[in-house]
Amino acid sequence: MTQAQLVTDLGNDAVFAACAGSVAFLAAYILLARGYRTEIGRALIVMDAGLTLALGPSVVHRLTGLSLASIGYAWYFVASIAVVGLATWWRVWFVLKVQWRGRPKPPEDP
Amino acid sequence: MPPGILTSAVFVAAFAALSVFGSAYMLLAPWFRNPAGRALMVMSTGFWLVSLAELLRHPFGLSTADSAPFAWFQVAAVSVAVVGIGWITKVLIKAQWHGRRRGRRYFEDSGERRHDGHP
Repeated sequence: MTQAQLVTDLGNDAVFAACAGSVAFLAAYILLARGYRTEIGRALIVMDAGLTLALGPSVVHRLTGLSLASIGYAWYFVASIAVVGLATWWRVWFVLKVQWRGRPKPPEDP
Repeated sequence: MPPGILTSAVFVAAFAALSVFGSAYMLLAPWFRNPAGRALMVMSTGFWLVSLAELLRHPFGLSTADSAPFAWFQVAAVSVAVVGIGWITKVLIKAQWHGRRRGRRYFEDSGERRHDGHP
């Protein structure tokens, strides 16, 4: 096995593991924690869903040989990465909001 | 506009978002104090590295087929993300298990705390 082949296989395995992990996280977070009831939960769910959507076709391609060369898949990939980016901005907003609310208040004048 | 240009644009936007999130979370929130924060930071770092690899691909003409170091970097980046995803899932399941035994649910704290003195 050449180094290029090894890296390709490892990369495919890592993508496969990432997709499986994303699906496991989504299932655990929605079913166990009911994370959709809170804002940070919704942001995490949307980000992980975008990740699953982005990685899913690669896994399907590996399992079934589905062609990913179409223009439709290119647009789908753009949309899924955009979902991840938007959800990350949402999380940024959430962190800033929570930290702003929790900042130490100046002492009040007697 | 071809989707290739948009793909680069969304990766730039995702990279920027992950950079800002990592900086804000590191500087503002005490993320290192609990396992969920540490797992979230590792996962975000993995995504940041993956998006960095995508950003480096086009301007430098890097390809996993032509550059072994770049291919190894990409594998490492995805692996960090995988470790983060696995870790945060484990933290979640473990916390749910303990929370169920104690009659409360972890990961439901959204930061939307009451400010009237009540918990």
